[in-house]
Amino acid sequence: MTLRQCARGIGLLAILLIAVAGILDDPAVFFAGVSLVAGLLVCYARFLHHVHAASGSVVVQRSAGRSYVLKGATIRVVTSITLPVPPRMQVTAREVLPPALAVQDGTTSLEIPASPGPHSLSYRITPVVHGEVLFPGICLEFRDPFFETAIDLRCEPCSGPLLTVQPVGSMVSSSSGAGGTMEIEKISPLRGAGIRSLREYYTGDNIRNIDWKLSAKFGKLYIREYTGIVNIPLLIVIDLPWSGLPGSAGDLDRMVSSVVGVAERSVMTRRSVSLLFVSGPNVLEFLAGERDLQHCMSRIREWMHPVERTVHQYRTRDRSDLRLQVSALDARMQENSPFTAFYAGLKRRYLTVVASQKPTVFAGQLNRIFSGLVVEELFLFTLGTGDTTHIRQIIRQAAMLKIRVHLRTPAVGTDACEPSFWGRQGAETLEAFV
Amino acid sequence: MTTIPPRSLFLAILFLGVTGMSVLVPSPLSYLPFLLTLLLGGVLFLSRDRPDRFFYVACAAQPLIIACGLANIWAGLFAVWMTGGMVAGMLDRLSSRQDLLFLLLFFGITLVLAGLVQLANHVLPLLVVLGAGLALALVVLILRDYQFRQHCAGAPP
Repeated sequence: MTLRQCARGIGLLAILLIAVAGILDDPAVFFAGVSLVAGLLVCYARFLHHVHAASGSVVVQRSAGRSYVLKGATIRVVTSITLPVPPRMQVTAREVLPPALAVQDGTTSLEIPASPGPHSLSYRITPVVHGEVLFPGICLEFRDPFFETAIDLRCEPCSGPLLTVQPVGSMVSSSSGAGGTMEIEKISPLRGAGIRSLREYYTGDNIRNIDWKLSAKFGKLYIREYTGIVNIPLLIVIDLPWSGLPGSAGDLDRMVSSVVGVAERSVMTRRSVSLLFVSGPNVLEFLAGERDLQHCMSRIREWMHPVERTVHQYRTRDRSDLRLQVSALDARMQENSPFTAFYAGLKRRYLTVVASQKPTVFAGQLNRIFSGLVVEELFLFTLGTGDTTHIRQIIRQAAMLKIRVHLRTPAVGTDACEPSFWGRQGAETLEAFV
Repeated sequence: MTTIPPRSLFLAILFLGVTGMSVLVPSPLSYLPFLLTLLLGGVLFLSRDRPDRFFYVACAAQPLIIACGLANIWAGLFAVWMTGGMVAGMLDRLSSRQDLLFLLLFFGITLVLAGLVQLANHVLPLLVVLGAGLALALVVLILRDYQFRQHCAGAPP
């Protein structure tokens, strides 16, 4: 329970009067002071009475899109709350979510109106830790002019349902081949299933590769040359935190160990890994197809600390974002809204910005790096502190080249990970550092 | 039909009571409660557009309560009751039966306080007794709240 400004003011006045009464030994002044205290006490009793009555009669019904879900997938949750709002009080219902769930979008808190009937919260969540996750309940915040308090309702009718989150592999398999491989039109130690060319038989060729049908047709032995298989290396993008921002050393340590784990596994299973160190919109270093694990680890050790950023982007809107805004404005203008003139002005302003805006240097650098690589999966490690415009740019550039992005972030619920950060990022999967 | 708002009704009763007291109990300072009632009415009028009006009225009523209490503690109690009614009216806490019960509870508590003040000659013993009573009441309220929170958190009854 917290005293609000009015209660603090009246309490201060009461203490002042009682102190003066003690000094002057005047019962009349004392009576004025204690009558104020009595008034506050009655207000507190009334406040608690209404809070208990309202909390005892709340009805919560929560439904999740699925009961079984893969880690990193997104599901919609709808919570219906029926609550009689006490007279002259404001009540806010807030969904209590465990740290294992990241909110993608939607609303998780609602000012309950005085009108009767169920009121709904709708939002999408992404489980970032596998296992069984229970929705704990809701938190009701009550306010009147004197007091405010919050009550956690975690008992049986308000909690649930149970969400079973299935784990996924640490490496997502490639669509073009098993285990992140692809066929190429070159000879390689590993043989693919496709036929690259046909040629005449030479002594020493493997007779199992003879194309008997073609040989019978032309009366000469022909050999099939199969396509080769190469491992597609992972691209790991590490977004180093800015030294000018306060950050959690524990989160950075966990990010280092997670990056090392993914890089080591990639070198062991795919024979190489590509590393891109960025800090905001600054490309610091790029290692393409690194096969030497020791060298890879030394570069990671050297870079993994907060760095100074020479260039900053503060909520820079991308051209594609602005075009989306223009499309949304067009849709609104067709609704014959009273704000049509405002929307038209806003649209003109957006179009002016789109026409004058040039692609950023960072976007060009990303484009050159991504275009020169054969890569299907990108692991993006970030602490999520400060501006996240560059994260959106990385994900968008990767999506344009059909590279799947797996976002790795600190555990949700820390200061660095506000739920709003995760919304609208567009990564294929989202997981916490392990 | 135009109805008189509760705050104006309580102010009118307070004005009549203070005027009657000034007439019935003549003293060199009998005009002071009368003037302080006018001051309270002025504050009530000037703060009519403010959302925290009740706070200004409660503060402006304290000199009047002290002045009435100096003359007679029961006159001070009357001023406290009327001020409580005005504040409850401004907070719209006179519309339901429960709100009236809480206002009556306030009247009862202040009646007991006035009786204790009448009996006691000094402030210090009163302060000790009422402080203990307040602490006890707070402990009861906080314990009830704690038990309710435990129940809401899913603890067994």
